Parts: sequence; structure tokens; C-alpha cells
Amino acid sequence: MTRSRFAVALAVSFLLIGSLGFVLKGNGKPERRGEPGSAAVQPNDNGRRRDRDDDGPRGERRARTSFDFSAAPGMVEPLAPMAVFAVGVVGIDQVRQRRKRRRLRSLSTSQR
Amino acid sequence: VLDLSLLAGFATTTNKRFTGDRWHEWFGVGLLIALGIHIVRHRQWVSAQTRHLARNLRTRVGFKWLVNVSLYVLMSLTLFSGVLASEYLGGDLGIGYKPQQGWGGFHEQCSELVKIPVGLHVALSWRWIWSMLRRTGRRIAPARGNAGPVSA
Repeated sequence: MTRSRFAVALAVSFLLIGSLGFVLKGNGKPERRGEPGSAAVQPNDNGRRRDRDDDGPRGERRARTSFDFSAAPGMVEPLAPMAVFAVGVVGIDQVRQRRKRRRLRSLSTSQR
Repeated sequence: VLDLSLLAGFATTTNKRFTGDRWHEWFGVGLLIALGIHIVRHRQWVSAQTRHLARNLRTRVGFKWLVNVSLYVLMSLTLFSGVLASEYLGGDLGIGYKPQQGWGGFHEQCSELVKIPVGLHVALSWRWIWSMLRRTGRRIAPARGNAGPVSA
């Protein structure tokens, strides 16, 4: 398959899979800020509105355009499951290799 | 470099407190493009493994294929719902788009779930990642050696 064909197939499948979301999440009206259940009113760990520290005093939208470096260590959080899985996979690989080597060694001694 | 930056980009995008809403959305768009490039670059693996799926289903390669497919499905759902739930992208691009109800919550659920196959995907590719890192290190080392002052 050529690169362009693959890219087109990928884009189409992305849209098809993404549109499954319409079925999975159910239909709804346009989301309004402050509506119960909307992401806009869920509090963060500190009890403040999550990511709404960028709102002005009258509630107007002012997007934060700078990074909050104090929250940078939080980037490690999604890497934690990776580390756990990686340790597991590496461990399994090591055991498998050791078994394989042992089997090969026993085979070579029996042939002698 | 692309694959490592993908991992770093994923970690950054998921940390919304670090990026803020607007950058979170733009990082997501960047991730979507980078993921597309990543999959297209590995298209030969994808098509070869899909062709020989029945034979490899019980092997590690088959398991990896299943992990990758679930990762692709979940990541597609996450990114698609993220675009539809975006509050700033429409305005930044000059499109009068308003986020639809339900997509924000769905996006968050998918983004939590996607961390599992991402972790498995990286973990299952550790040999490839390690060999690429070593190869890159080897390539950089002689280049540094050559760049030093030449003594006559």
C-alpha cells in the first residue's frame, strides 16, 4: 500500500471511529459554561474551578496563554503506568530468554 | 526523535494544569498530526502484521497488534471528542463553533482509558526504543569526535 493511500485510509478510519463517539456518548445540546456536569464547573484538587483560573472577575473568557511550571511534575503521572508495564514486559522477556538459553544448553549437552 | 517527542507531547497534553485550556487543545492538534505521521511511518509493520494476523495471534506480535489497535481506537475517540469539546480551537481558527454537551465528559473518560494502551505500547516496544536510542547515541558520539579541534 502506498503512503498516500495509507494516509487516506487512516484519515477515513479516524473519522469513522471518532463518529462512534456520537453513539457512545449520546446526543446533547450545545454545552454552556457553568452548566451542571459540564467540565467547566468541576473543581480541581484545591477545590478551585479546574482550569478556570483564567476567568476574569466578571466571568468573561480569558484563556491562559502561559504554562504553569509549578504543575509540570504532573507530567510524570501518565508515565507511571508505562513504567509499571515496562518493568513487567522486561521481566517477562528476561525470564523467557533465560528459559530459552537453558533449553538450548540442555539440548547441546544431550547431543554431545 | 518523533516518537520520543510524541511521548513527551502526550505527557504534556494530558497535564492540563500545566498547559491550560488553550494550549491543551493546540497540543492535542499537534498530537493528532504527529500520531498520523507516526502511524504512516510504521505502515509496513501495520499492513504486514494485519496480513499475517491469524498466524501471529497467539504470539507477542499478535498481542502487540491488539494493543496497537485498541490504542488507535481509543486515541481516535479521545482526539475526535477533544476536537468537538474544544472551547478555543473554533475561535482561534475563526470558526463559530460551540462545544457540544457530553463531549467533554466523554473526552475525559477516553483520555483516562487511553493511558493503559499507551503504557503497554511503549512497554512492548522497549527493545526497539532502546536500540534506536543506542543507535542515535552511537551516531552522535563520532560526530562529536569529528567536531573537535584538529591537531596537526
